[in-house]
Amino acid sequence: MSRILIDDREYEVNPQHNLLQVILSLGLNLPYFCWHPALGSVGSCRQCAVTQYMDENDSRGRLVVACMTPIQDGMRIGLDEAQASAFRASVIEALMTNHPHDCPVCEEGGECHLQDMTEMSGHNLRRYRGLKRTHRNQYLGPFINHEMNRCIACYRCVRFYQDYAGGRDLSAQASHNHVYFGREQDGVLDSPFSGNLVEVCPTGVFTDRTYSRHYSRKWDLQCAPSVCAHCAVGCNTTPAQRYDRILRISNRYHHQLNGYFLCDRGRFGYDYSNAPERLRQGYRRSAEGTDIADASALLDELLERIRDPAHAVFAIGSPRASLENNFALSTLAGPEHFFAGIAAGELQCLRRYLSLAARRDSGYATLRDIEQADAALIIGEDVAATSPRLALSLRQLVRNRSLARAREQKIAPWQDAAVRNLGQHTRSPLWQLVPCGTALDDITERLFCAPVDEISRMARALAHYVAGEEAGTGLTAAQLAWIEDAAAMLSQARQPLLLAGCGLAAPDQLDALAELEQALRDRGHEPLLYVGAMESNSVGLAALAQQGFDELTVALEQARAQGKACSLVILENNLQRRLAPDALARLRGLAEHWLVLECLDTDTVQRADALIPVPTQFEQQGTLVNASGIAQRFQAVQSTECAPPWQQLSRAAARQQSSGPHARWAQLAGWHNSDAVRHSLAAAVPIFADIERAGPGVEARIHGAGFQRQSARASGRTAMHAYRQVREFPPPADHDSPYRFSMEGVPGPGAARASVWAPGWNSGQALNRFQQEAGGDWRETADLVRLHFEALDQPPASPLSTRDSAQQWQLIPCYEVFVEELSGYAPAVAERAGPAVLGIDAQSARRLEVNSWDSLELHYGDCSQTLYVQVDPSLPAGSLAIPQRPGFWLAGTDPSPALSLRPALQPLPRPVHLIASDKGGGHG
Amino acid sequence: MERPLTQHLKPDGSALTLAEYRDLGGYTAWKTALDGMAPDEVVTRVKDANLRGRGGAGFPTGVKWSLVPRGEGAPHPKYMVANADEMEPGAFKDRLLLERHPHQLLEGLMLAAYAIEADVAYVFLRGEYVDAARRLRSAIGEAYAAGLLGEHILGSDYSLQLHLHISAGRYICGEETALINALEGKRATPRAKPPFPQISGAWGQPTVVNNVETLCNVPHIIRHGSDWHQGLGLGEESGTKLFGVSGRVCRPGAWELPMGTPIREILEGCAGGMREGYQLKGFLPGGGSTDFLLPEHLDLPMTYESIGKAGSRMGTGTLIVLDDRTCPVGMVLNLERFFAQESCGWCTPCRDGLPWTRQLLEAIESGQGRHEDLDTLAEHCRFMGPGKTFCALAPGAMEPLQSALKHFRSDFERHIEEHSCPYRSSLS
Repeated sequence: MSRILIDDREYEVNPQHNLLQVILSLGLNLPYFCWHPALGSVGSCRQCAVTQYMDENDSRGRLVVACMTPIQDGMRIGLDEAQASAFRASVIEALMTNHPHDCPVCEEGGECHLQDMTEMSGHNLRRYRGLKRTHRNQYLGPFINHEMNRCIACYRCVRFYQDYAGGRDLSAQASHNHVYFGREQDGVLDSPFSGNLVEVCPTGVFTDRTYSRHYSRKWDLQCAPSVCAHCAVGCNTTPAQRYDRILRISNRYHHQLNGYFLCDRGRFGYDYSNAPERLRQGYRRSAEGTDIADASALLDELLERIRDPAHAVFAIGSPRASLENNFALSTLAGPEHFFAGIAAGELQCLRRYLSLAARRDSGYATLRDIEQADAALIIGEDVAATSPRLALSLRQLVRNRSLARAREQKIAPWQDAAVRNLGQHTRSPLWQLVPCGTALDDITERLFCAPVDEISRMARALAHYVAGEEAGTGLTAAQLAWIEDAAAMLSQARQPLLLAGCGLAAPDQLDALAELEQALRDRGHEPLLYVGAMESNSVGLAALAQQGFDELTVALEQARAQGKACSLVILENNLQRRLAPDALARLRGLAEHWLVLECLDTDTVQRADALIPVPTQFEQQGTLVNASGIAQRFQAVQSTECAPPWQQLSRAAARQQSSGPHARWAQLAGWHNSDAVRHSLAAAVPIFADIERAGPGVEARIHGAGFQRQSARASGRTAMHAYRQVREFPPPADHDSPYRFSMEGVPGPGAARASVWAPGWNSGQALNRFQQEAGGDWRETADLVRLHFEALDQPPASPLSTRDSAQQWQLIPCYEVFVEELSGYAPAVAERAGPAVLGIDAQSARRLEVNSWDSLELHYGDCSQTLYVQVDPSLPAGSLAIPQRPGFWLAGTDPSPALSLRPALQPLPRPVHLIASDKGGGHG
Repeated sequence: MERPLTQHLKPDGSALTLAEYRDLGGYTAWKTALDGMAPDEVVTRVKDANLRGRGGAGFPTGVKWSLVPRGEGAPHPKYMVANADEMEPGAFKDRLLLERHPHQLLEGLMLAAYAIEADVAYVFLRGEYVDAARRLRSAIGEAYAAGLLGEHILGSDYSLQLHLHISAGRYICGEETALINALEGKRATPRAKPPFPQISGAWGQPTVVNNVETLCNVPHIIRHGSDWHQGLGLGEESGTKLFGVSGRVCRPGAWELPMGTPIREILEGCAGGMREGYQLKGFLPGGGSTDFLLPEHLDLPMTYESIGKAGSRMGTGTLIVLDDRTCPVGMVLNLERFFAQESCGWCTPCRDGLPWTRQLLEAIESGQGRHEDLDTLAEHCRFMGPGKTFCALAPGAMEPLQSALKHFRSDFERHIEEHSCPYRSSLS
């Protein structure tokens, strides 16, 4: 620590930080624009100028820009000094010469950093009499609105988009006061991280286009801490709602996971909650038709069936439902009748995820751990598509070598431009051993593309080689060379990261990963490990359910052999995404009655005999386990009449006169809130022993007060519902949470607060008021709640399904950032998904005489679909990259898919990249 | 009087060829250095010669070179760049050297590259200098063909590649770090220092950027020695300097004269004094970004010191003359238009302050000015003064303005009071 004097008061500060960061960390006010805790300093805006004195005798001092000034022990700073204050006001005045006076109609108004900083600087009177320069705005796609006239040229947007996130299609253009931040021409922003521009921009140049369609001021939003539902990374989010609609998602800082940034799937996927496919009414379907049915009646019938010895009821859990809901279903049906609703191949991978974790004491890496690693080997997984936010962390990982070089040159890591200039050709090694190229290729040092089975073989050979054994036989010279080089690369690293995942549904890759990890450990290395999962609670469900679809089929067949009538109860799971078409048909044949609990009208709901609607994640609280093995609580953002599944099941159990044959039901019936569910779960399944700590309990209070979901400045109730009822309704009660659906109470603790706001800080950058130091962890930080993997009984490694070697094609599952189940119901995300494209290797393309953007007919099971072809030279010969969309072959569903290609009878039209623009009135 | 840089320029305006340059002793310094001088010796000789940068800032060249890590273990590649992006209003001295004497520059650039053990050298040339580009290209071709460039030059261990880079053209590229960014293909915005380019310059590697005229001095220093170069100047400063004069003088032009030549000698002796019917009202001694001096300063010697003491800068040494029939407000407006246009847009005071300054001057010049505008302009001079902005562009832009406000305040006031430009009405 260093001691410095600010306005003649002594402070102890972190000497690693720059002066601005230190001043903010002390809770003092100093306006700034171009600096960002994650982006570092460039010193362009000059807004954070302060006076630095040579020594105690210096009375004049000189102006320095705080963000570019390193800390020296004993330095003397004037923060409120007149000359510096006047200069800061002048900077704002200069920025304001061109800034429109549109705050009342600007969507940033009320949470605008520029507004806050303007107030802070004291500038308020306009003296500039000239014309303002104006710009033309661009159409940037379904996520982002562009209003360049508001730009104050802080350069943060391009520094995030290009430098931090590796995007190429947003740039600073032109010069002097005409600097323009946009694309070369109108068009969809390419980067899957474009949504962060909304938060990175200090004013209203880049705003959330989806929010804009149903806009509300920040202070009128009702928010709650949540966790992203759209992949397994577990980014923390703050959804916001008003008038029974989720309006937007913003980033909720998590020091170990997402930091300041989200991916666009996570940010814009929320609209599934407002989709017309939302289910609100239970029904029963028969040959005669569909009848509205009460959920409780349907559940009572279910319980009847479970009690009936002539019936066998099997339950399928959901990797996107909370632990609470899955556990409730498991408790109702009995663990022996509870099955993970996860495709067979993926479940085998998750089993290995668990067994690998059980024998490690350090757990899986967080994103922050990954950003500290200095080398990475990716085995198989296309993380940029399955876990987009993770790819952003890998982009920071490759900078570590240049940061090390900067350290040698005594350049501070926060000197962003200097570090990037110095290390522009220096990267930490990121190697990929994958079936085909990915979005990380531009930062990849060595890309080795091999068929899925070869990847496992090579990874295992690498493990042997690292262990000092023979790499193995049957490897090509190129493979051997790669293995030798990869071993050297990993051995030279201080802390290498090994990364694999479940996407290829290739469990042998994870076995190889385990061997490689062990080999490196035996050699004295401590590699970081990350195994990607597919959905928000895949890991949680795999740890809860002992059985999968294979066991389910066996159980169904046995029950039928015993002459029992079989039925299924399916929790939030679209089986079309888990099973091959013939397997799905077989399941339908084996179980004559399907009861589905679901929030959206999926293919499985269409096949169901009865439906019970359930709330979305935004309408209940629960716990999810991410791929780092961390359990996290999400809170309800809006109230609903519809009870969460655990509660519906609990109430159904309570309605039973006697607990009958099922003693578990007494426990189920006794759950009066979700705390009780978690308490039972922690007691019943040792791996979840700590999950009660993953969030505040129902009884949590701060100084006796509950937690507010609305801001203290909410406009209160409005006439919005007056057409129905003029009487004011009391705010809905939440008996399952310490949070209230009102402005009453206090903000929640630390990261669990509903939103960040501090006096003078209305924008999201108020966050620095709640961090231990600007850019650091929350001041009130809760320990990460990791699963107790060591409590796990080693599950027997399930036998590997053998692939049919006579197959004509090597099939490669091809994941896309904007193709995911829930976010697919959000119109903006669906628009970004684009048409399905079949990847084909160059040799096969020549043989079939097809070129990119020709179309082919793909036949699989009963399905045939016409889709575009993209020739991918990185694909091994004889490969097809199959988009992972329902209706196509899906990874892990089918061990020997019979699939054929034909020339399209009706070729698809050549895709036209439509560009709207504000000239043609398409904007807005 | 010795004029080492320009004495051999051909009167027909064509460039000296390699053969002609060699006949005059060209590239003997290069051979001398390669034959037996260690890079450190070259640095020391230039340091001892007290050669100061001719681009405007006057930083000692030898010192600049000595900050580059050299010897075993030094990072490679290293880069040596000639800053030929001459864009200072009123300056045309480098153009003369580039168009008429390209080999002199190349030899200087090569010696500088040798001194810092550079692997690659660039001439970063202003885009509008098309004749210079043609002549440089041919000179570089000649030098390669003669084995003066390339691998193992003249049988030594030293190899150097030299490229001509034609700039897209921005005033800011004269700033060495912005030049480096432009050379890399990035936006021409300046970089923060430290790290200095000698440590982390082009592509993050050690780099030195020197002005054309500075480099042209180097072969002569190597050939004739430090003392000889010291002796060329009058008084403290060493060497000769190309001085230029533009404005309503009898013979506008550029001349090589000893450092420390009195201004009067340049203005009256070389340029022939004011044209008939015009009186000297003031002048910018070192190009567009320097403070006005007045007729009372005519006897000052042109040195960094003396011009600095008088409240201005010697800058590029190219005088712009303001006569008594030209509106000083219009002249300053013209300059501020240029600087506002050439601001790179990186830092706030320059990007948004200069257009405001321009707008105020336009208002005053067109008779729309208000009295408080003069206070605002004075405020701007402080707002964009030294130490407030990212680089020296805006402080330079403020120099003619702040001195004009001081020396010609009555002209500004008349514009405001009379709601028109008094000079324009007197012309009509």
